[in-house]
Amino acid sequence: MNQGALALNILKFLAPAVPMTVAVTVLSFTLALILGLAVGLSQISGYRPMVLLAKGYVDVLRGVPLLVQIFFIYFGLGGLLNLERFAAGVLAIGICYSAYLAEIIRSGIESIARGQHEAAASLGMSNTQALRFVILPQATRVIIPPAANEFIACLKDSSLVSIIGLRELTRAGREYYSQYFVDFQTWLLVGVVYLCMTLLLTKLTRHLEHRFAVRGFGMGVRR
Amino acid sequence: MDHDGPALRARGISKRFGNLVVVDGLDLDVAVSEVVVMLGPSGSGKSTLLRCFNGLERLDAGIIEVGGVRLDPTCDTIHAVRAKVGMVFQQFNLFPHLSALDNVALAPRTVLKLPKEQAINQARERLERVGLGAKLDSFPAELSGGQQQRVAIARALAMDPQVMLFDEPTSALDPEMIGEVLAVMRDLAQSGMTMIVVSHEIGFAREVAHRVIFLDEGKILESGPPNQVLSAPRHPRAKEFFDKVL
Ligand SMILES: Nc1ncnc2c1ncn2[C@@H]1O[C@H](COP(=O)(O)OP(=O)(O)OP(=O)(O)O)[C@@H](O)[C@H]1O
Ligand SMILES: [Mg+2]
Repeated sequence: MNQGALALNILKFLAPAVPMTVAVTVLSFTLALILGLAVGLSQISGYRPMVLLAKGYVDVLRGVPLLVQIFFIYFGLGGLLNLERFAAGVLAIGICYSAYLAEIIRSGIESIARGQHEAAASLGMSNTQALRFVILPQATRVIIPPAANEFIACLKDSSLVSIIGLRELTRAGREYYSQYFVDFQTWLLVGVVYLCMTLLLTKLTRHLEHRFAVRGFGMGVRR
Repeated sequence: MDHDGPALRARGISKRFGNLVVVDGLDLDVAVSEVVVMLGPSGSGKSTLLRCFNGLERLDAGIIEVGGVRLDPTCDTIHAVRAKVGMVFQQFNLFPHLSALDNVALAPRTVLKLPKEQAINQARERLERVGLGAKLDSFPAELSGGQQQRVAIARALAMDPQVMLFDEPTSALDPEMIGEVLAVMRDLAQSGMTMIVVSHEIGFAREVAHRVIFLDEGKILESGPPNQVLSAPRHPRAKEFFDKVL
């Protein structure tokens, strides 16, 4: 087989696994966003038990390797809760990433000047209204770039679920290798496919940053 | 206003930060349509007092009433009462992610639940009134300091407040922009708005204020017509302060 045909052959083998990588990434990151927002808001709720709980959540999850968390949820909890691989994988990555996102969201919100809260309050807005109409729209601008980094990291870390037998991109690479014993080209192409996806994501997040840019404010978008 | 008493009444109010007593058992009545200018040394508690008047600070003692309704930061009705007290800040505190029009329309839409169109129309009128009819779609970062402060005044007025509080509204402004903001405030005073203004603009105090108050260490040491307080203060600390400022 010449190199071109080999590459095509490998890519054909890898392609069916791409949707799984995308599904694990998108679902777990969505879960991470929802949990992260809840935990991030809890951290600044000012209600002590909630603050402590949220801080504990973040500290524990950031302090344990993701791989160990995947093992724990799939083998440890999975047996008890009857979780299948896919659910366990998404849950593990989602929960782990929610800790990082909680920190990003918390610091994003805290970066908005106190005067903004006060202006909103002095107009009679409730805390929820202030958060929704004044604080979060501004915090989003601050949150998007680091959250986008996490999204890309999440895509790459989705390869870890190959270990519990989910047939995503990395797993497909291993299968190809164990059938045909071509290592250099296989892993090179697996890497290239990941790279294409992360580059696509980078483009997407640039677009998002632009959309949330404020006129006359950093980023230089003026209509 | 649908009651006969003062627009704002404070009785025995105190505010501490830790051991520091910032407002010290203070009484104040401000009549409807009265304009009060408050002066005092840095750290004398002027900002804190204003923040007490709209419930941004929780009192340690005393009561505050706005239009006869008790202002109680621990109570659910605080937002409704607070909406009746407009506040203008030294640093403007406009919402940077919203246009001038949306800055003014936001609270009427969310707090008063006005329909969008009505809120926008009303916001346009308010901005025209402060001379910014041509800047409706500008964002705060595209406006000068004086323009931003006028948007902030329009934003507070959009809630139809019974009392307006101003915390050094011109001290973050370049000198050439102070006049335009004071002019808006003068118009507002002439239209009968009840105003409490912390400002060291003595000309404004002399011309517009009905009463000048000198605050020191959380107490009112001097209170009276501008001419009397500014020209012939009785209290030595007030004398000392005005000798420096005037
Ligand atoms: N949130 C706070 N926590 C602790 N101390 C505070 C707080 N806010 C104000 N203070 C203190 O209370 C005192 C009065 O502050 P305040 O801002 O009311 O003074 P001011 O008269 O407005 O002064 P300035 O003319 O400098 O604006 C100061 O000593 C200040 O350090
Ligand atoms: Mg002050």
